[in-house]
Amino acid sequence: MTGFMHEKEFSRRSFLKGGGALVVGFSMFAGTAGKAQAANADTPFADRTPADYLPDQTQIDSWITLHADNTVTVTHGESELGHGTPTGILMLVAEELNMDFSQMKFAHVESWLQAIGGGNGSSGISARSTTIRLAAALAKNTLVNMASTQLGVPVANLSVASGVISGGGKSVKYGDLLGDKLFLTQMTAANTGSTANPPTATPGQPGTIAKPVSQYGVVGKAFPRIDIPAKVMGTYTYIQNVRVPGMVHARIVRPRGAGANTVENANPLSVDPTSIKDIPGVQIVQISQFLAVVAPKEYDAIQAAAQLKVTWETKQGFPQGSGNFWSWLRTAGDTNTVNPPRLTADSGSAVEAGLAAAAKTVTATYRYHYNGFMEIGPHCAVADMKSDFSGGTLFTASQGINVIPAMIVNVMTGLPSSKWTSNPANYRIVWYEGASSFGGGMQGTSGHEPVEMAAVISATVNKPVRLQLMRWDMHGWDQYGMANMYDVTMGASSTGKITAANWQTYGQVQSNIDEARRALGQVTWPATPGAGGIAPSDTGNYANTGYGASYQYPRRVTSKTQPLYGGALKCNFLRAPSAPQSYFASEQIVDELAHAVNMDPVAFRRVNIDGTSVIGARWLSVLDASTIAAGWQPKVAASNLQSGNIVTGRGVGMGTYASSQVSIVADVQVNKKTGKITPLHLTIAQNNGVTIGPQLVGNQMSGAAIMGLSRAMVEQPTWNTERITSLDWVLYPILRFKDSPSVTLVNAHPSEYTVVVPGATDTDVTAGNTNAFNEGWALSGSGEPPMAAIGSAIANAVFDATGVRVRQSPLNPANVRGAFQAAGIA
Amino acid sequence: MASKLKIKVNGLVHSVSASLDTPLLYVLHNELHLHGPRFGCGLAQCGACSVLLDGKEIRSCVTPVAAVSGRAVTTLEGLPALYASERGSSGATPVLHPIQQAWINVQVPHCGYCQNGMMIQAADLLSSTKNPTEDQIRTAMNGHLCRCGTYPRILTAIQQAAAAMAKGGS
Repeated sequence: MTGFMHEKEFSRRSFLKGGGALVVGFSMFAGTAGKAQAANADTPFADRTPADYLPDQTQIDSWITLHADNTVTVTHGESELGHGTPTGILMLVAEELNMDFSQMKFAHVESWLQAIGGGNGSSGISARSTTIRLAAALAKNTLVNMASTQLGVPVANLSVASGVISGGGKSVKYGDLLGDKLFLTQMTAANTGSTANPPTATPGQPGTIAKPVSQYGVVGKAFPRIDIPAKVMGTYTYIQNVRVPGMVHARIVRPRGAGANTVENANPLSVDPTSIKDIPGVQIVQISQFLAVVAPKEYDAIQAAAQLKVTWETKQGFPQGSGNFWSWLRTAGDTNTVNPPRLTADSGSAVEAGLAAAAKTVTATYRYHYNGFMEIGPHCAVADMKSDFSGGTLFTASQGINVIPAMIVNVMTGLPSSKWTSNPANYRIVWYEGASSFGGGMQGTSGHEPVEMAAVISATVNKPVRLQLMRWDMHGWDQYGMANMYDVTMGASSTGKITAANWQTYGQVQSNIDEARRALGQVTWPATPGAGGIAPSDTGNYANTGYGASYQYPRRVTSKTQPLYGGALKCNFLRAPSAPQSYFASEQIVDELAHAVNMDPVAFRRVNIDGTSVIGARWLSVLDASTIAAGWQPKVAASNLQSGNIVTGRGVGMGTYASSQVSIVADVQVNKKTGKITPLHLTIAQNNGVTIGPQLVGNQMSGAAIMGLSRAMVEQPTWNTERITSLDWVLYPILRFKDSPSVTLVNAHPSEYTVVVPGATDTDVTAGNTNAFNEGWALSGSGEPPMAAIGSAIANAVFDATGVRVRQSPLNPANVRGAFQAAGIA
Repeated sequence: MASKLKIKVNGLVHSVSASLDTPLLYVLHNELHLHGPRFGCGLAQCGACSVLLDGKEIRSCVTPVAAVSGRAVTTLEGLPALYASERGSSGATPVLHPIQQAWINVQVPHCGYCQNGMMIQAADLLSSTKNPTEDQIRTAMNGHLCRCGTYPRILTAIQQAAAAMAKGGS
């Protein structure tokens, strides 16, 4: 049966080791040498060792374990984030092995097994399936060669289906040839055709042994996700459900709501242990500014954390508060010495010439607010540290299981009078899924910080510890996706050709200090901005995302970046980093120009996309797919305004992320009196080049669009001069069921648009995949792109309905009503 | 102080040790090791922790364990048996409630963390409203939050489940 291998194995074998329940299954590997041979999916959890950390990526055995029953377990480190990526990886491996999807299993992800660990989000399949594709292809070739010898039939006369090799009237199963044995075969340039190290191949890559796309029979079809049945039955183990014998419960103690960067307002000046003396078995853990409580019963830990009397140092780190944010942002970057105001793109005098030659120009300012990660389930981690300082087992939902060991080394060896080992392999990282992971996965609170904190607490109390964060930890202490503002002037000719644009952007860098280590006193903010190991990275690349989709025109982009010090919220990369922000501006001003030159907004976009290039063709495919599926009727936007308070409109918006293109047609209803926007329907077209799993992609498209809708329409944090104040779902709401539109999902290939119905088993885009491959459309990511397009699609639809532009997110009743009042229609 | 309590969960009576004010969620998760109800906010705002109490949806994160004494708690894990008993069917308990089957058919979950509450609320809705309109579904589900944006598929799945239940199937 297809599915995850579950933790039952370790709960019975590892933790009951002393009870005599250990099952030794290691003998078959005796005598083999090298990392790749040390552990594969057949090695019981309890028998894996630090020597198995990061096995050799060039060995087939590091990726694929063939069983005697003719099934395969895949040891790819891609963790399930709800994206369905493991399901997609199994499809790829089944494809290259000529096996059935039902013959595939996915090994549980941990650092003492997988060659590459952790999830890569949107690019999990497109960027990280390249080596396993060749491992599977080489495994097939190896097995066919063995069959040729055994059957006495030339390789050329053999074929494989469902893992059975046939030819010359004879047949043999993979499992009979090498089941439960190792391949002991290294991938090389000679046997894979790839000169990369480790060898890699994109789908059908010429010159490699990867299967031609035209022969795909699994990829491009619909397979149900392997994780869904357990999630629906309540038997799935999330990180929050991990339980270790003897485990105690921990909570972090800190003020509700973080302060600004460098002014966390989490320094406990005094702690009164007598304030929780009535709570049984409670312990306080304090190291520097790191403060936590531990108790045998979870509810006792919760109460202790709430009840513990602490006097906190409090500083005014946010000069602006949320009420004055936008006006503050306009000048905040002027004095930034680390990222001073600067040109990030410049076409020179062609910009002035283009604007001067324009028949119409539009000048406008767009604002896209901070958005939180806002997982429904607060982060959790479990740590079981060894009392002899020799390492530990750590359970985390982080995407970065292979980078966390080194982080744990830093944390543990940095403890006062530390005796902890500095060998990262001794810190075993076991992954379990958390609630929706939408970025910042390897850094920040959604990544390593909870497990670092759990490790420190476990080491301090010398017991296994489950650390569960609370709702206010998420709303108040998690990082945020950046807020951006854009002043834009753009011009177009009378026939709708964009002539030039001048962009002034106001942005922010991410703040990548490790909050756990900061509280522990192991790292500090540099005394001067930009100095030291936590210097901000530049926003250049991210700030340049967008600015007009595929449209080519002379442009100048001047970027101002608010200083990391002096009032910035902690920021990290939230799903489709910076794309919702920049496309909210770029795809609205394009719409404004279309209106200015009296053109249908779709026709205007078409004029500006160069369909002769591959990338232009991909853009046109989604524009066509979305507008055809939506039954788009060309007209100038807002040219047929309805009377009355309740009106409807339709708009289009485009965007890209992870190299995939999206176009969304949005239908909305607007209440002109209240400013309430109700999205009615979204027609979403996305192009992934070669689509691995159309159902997987369809779910991603729908989810990214709805989450993007929430971000653009509903979400913004609040803060005062001291700290973040929007600490729950009332004060920082997200989109609710009643406001959620219906969706039509279209998977686009060259001149072929497939409507994906969630769960439909007959979805098949194999022909489209072949055409896409032949046109040079590369496989691209699926987890994020609609997020780039949705905000502008809604705003453009509101304009069509009312003739009023709403250029500030969130598009909530207050902001929309404000725009209506300014325009005199409300 | 911890007290000895008896609570009825998914048809079985369990003896548990907890202070009377302990929210039911922590007893279900830590004492009975049930994974269906999940911690989301502890504030009754999101619905990840929902269970059925005598067939009606409640938020287990704010319901003291003492308040469910003598009443029947059903978690996600208990939905198939509850459906079988409601139909008065004898024989083996089905593996899935029609709602769970519909959730798989439509491939509803993304991360799935909130889906416990979604299915529990849907069970409450469909036990009292056999053939709900879209508006009735949206109203019933409005108190449950999903970050991954699965609302459209949930709507479809509830409609499918209602149709399946009307036919008496599973």
